[in-house]
Amino acid sequence: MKYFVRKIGFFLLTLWAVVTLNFLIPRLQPGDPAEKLLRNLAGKNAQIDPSQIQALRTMLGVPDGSLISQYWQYLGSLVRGNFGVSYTYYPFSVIEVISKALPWTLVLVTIVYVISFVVGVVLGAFAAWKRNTRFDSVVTIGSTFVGTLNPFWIALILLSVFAYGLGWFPSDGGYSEATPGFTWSFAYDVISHAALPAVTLLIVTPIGWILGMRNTMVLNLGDDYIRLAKAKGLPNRTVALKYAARNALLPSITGFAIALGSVLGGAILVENAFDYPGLGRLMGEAVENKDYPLLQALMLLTTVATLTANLIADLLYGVLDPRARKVDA
Amino acid sequence: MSTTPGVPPTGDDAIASSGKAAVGLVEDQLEESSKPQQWYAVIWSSGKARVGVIILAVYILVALFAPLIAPYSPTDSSFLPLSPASGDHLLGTTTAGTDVFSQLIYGSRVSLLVGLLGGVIATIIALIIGMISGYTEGTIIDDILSFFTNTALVIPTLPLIITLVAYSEVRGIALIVGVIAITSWAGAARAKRAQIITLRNRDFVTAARFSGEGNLRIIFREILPNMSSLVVAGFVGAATGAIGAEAGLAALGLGDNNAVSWGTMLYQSNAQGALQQGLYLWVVVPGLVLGILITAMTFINFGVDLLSNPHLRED
Amino acid sequence: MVRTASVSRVRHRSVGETRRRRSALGLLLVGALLLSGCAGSRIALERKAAAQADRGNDGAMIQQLRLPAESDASVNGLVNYNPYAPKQLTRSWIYEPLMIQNGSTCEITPWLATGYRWDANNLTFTIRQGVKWSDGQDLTPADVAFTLNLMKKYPAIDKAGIWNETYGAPATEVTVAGNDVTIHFSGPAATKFPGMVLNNAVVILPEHVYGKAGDPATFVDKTPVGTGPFTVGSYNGRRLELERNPTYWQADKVKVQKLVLEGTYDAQQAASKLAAGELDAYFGEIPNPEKTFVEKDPANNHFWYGAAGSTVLTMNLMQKPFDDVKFRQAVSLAMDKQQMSLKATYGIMAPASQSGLRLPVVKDMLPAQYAAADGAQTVLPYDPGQGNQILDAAGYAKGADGFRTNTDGSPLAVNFSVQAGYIDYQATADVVVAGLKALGLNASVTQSSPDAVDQQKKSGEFQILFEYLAGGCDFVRGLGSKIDTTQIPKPDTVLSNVERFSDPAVDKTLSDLGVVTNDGQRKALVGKLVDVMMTQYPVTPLIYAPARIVYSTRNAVGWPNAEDPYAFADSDRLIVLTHLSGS
Repeated sequence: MKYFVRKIGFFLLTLWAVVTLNFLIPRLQPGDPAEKLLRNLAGKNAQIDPSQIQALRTMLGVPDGSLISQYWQYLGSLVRGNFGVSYTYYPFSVIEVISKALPWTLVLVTIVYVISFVVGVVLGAFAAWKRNTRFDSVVTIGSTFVGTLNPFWIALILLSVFAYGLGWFPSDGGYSEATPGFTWSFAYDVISHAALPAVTLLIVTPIGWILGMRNTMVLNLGDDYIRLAKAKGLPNRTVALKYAARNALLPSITGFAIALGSVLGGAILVENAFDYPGLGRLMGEAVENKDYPLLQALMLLTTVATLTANLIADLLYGVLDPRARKVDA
Repeated sequence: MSTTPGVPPTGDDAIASSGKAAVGLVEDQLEESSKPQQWYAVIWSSGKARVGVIILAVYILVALFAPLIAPYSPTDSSFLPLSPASGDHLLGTTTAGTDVFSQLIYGSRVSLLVGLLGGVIATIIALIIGMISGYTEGTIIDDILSFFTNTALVIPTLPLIITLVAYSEVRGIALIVGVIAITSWAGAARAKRAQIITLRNRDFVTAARFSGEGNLRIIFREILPNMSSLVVAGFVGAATGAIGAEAGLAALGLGDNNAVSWGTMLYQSNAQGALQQGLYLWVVVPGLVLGILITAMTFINFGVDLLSNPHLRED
Repeated sequence: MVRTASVSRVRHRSVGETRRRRSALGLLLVGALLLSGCAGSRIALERKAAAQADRGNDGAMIQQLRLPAESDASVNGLVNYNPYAPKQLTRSWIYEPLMIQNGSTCEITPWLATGYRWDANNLTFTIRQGVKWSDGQDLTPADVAFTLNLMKKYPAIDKAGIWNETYGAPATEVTVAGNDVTIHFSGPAATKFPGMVLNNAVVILPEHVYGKAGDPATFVDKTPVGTGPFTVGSYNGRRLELERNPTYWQADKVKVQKLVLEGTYDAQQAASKLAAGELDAYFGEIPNPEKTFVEKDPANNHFWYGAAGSTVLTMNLMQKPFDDVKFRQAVSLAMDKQQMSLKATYGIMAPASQSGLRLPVVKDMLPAQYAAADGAQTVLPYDPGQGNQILDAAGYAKGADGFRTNTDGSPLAVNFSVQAGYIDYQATADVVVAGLKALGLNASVTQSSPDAVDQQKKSGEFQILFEYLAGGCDFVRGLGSKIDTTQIPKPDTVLSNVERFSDPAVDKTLSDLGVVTNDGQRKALVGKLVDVMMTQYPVTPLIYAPARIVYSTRNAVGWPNAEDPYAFADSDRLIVLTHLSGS
């Protein structure tokens, strides 16, 4: 029981640390949100009229008072579930803004993660089972090479070839002409827009699962119980699937839970390259505009997701593998 | 591992995520030390690692002798802009009139430097925190250090790096290295903590303790040598991460724009619409060169994995 | 550890700076053409514009015109048409201003007001009759007075600063008499007017809607009632379709049946959509537009990067040696503007005049001594030899290390702060530093984040940096603000006079300029400012900065261009609309 209490205590303590960091980091840097916003609206080759800055500052009510009093206000409103109003999307609240962007990211990145997890684990398991064959080499070497390519670069090439060159896929946005709803035309519109971002992610994400699964499984295949199973004359396939793969899957599954928590991280990369209307682009925009309320809420959302996934993974692990309670206490 | 979205445990992190594996590994490794096979020999025994080492060596030579190899200064913008590839300009010139090939050659310096420094700093931080934390397991010191480690692990690294760099006043190599290092040590620290916990109850440590050796001496004299493979793996991993992260940041326009690196080349070429203008080499080559370097580093890490995981050896 | 692949790819648009310009080479020819295009007499242009306004627009109808989204929001589906919000789905087509002064020719076009006049410190607009809101009600002078008073009550929407002290005395009250609406100011406030007719700073709201809306800054306007040429057709969260307003007060001039606004494109997306006929015009930068766009269909694909202002080298006049006018003169002579144009703008944007004016468009404002050849001599030549002579004569001797020292013999190092990520600035900075080195100066560049550079502008802790000099139609807010003591940045606000130039005589000229309404007097006063620029070198203009349009004539014709620069396409959209017709 102590194990679980510790984990939950850590969860809360970390949450506080993260909330505080979220508060501090944007504020320690120079720059005034009103000026940034006007500058970004006008472009750098524009003279910003002092009266406009004055008006916008009045509108946004840019925080004043000492850092400490701002901090207390911030904590207080968080407790009340009030994340404030976005500067960029004034007068919409941070919650409204995020709720518009969240579904896009969830759908795109979650589907990609699931596919790449399944593909990665299966390929990794086979590579381990067929160790030192040509299949193994092709999978490990191939996935290492494509998986370490710079996604920015991959996106550039994909866009250049398939969007600008061949014109097979649109280059930007989440959908275009169709009216959102559960219709085939809308689904088609969404899928064609999601294709290139998804492919980019699918090129770079499976490598981790492949190598992780392969290594753990190779390790397991050398274990005594596998040797025993083989000695007992069980068929190879049974040994591979029932024993080695199943045991090797455990770390991968907890890893997957954690990875799901960091969906936003993956989203930032792809969404900005393809102008996808999700959380990642929103985050880029929030950084650019010094939109503290929005940035804080996004960081908080991500962290809470990661923390929660970690907590679940830890608890799961504690249940599944009692030894972990000792080692990782 | 959770520092990076979507990338599950490999290398040292895999050990951390599986207590079972960690225990097994350490035992294997200790067995191994009885019939000493030098670590470089183990790494070299892997075909992939051999290829990786050779490629890396080529990159290092290119970086060292860049002034001899590159025909021009990477910042010399006196050439005719937008020249196609030719004998004078193997990869053509940029829109600003600099030689793409020379930039490519000099770019290797930034990548390798960032990899070296980022890897060293992250490894040192991970070592110090991981070892102290592991050795003092169960005490308040461990609790505090573990708290830092775990917090650093769950804070979303990528948004954090972007925020830090976007708001920093001067974007130099030092900033990039620093930011990468302080956001990337946690996974390795946790792995080292896990391993030291299993090591510190070993007989030779107990023996040392009874003979009255100090804690620091035990940690660094008795235990550390037994963790060399984990340290090497951590270093290679961190260096690889740092190289990729620098290129990624630079490609976003958040790099050190005073330095010529492959990432800044990607950023500039994209911002200048190089593909639209038909300057394919300017875009394609830096990305490929970067990919090959990181692949080579990853291959080396395959070899390093063999150190800690003899079962993986290609027999 | 950080896994490599991860950080990579926030495209420059998002995390980097928003706009970037840049374009092609070998285009000197095109640059020259543009220049000659700009050269037409301003009077002739005004006559032409007036003729156009009288004639109406008798071209063919355009079934559908496609432009990029006006809101650069990355999130879809937040519906707000409130023109005073920081972002709205469209800021041009629903609510309208009283008058429009276009940024290109500076001509003032009557809009919801048919005219204006100054009477002492009172500004009177005559409101157009027969204008209807899109819900059928009449636009009344009361609506205008309501809007102006709303700005008093809610300073957050007072973007023109009518009720506060910026650029002239604050207003005290608004009165209505017949069709006239008069704003009474507490003192001279002539400079308020140009602020009110630019960039939709003041657009008129319907009292019968906004009167019940409470705080206009926080009001979410989902069903707009405007006077503009379009009404909202449909919005699917991303694609906004606007329908022609048949009861528009100048409906005969609007030939666009449906206007589609979709997407915030970067250069590559825009170029490809323009080429594919999926977009009719784009107002952002496309690098090397001649090669990436025009060449693909020279008959239909065009661009015009008009001069909206200039990029100026800004030296900190509070520090040695920049406080020495001789030093500034020498530096100004060492700037190879032709090279900057080539490296930073593919030769498109021409070298800028030291006068601070956009030449040749506003050459009529040049005082006689500089007016020869349309002010060609005010574009300083690249002459580092002369610059060196000036420095030698002024006592900046070379030290043992070969670099020049201060006049008192102390070492002199010049550091240039440039915004990281502003690619054209960076390219220009390289040429600047080469020029400084040609003068024997120990010069270097530091790239800092744009935020940090803004911070330096506020604190005054910098040596040299780039600034933008607005070529605006109003010389108090534009050129004047660069050398106005009251416009020196404050610790918490970036203002125009970053170099911190201060001269009581100039301040006097500017305050006079803020009061005069007579053209002859105005020209004489502007001439004094030009003379300050030419002799004191408060800042050194380098190359003109663009107001852009990249467009296709396959679907619509009548876009502004170098031959007919009747307005800037991006900032004067309503004016442009009345010129468009089907091709």
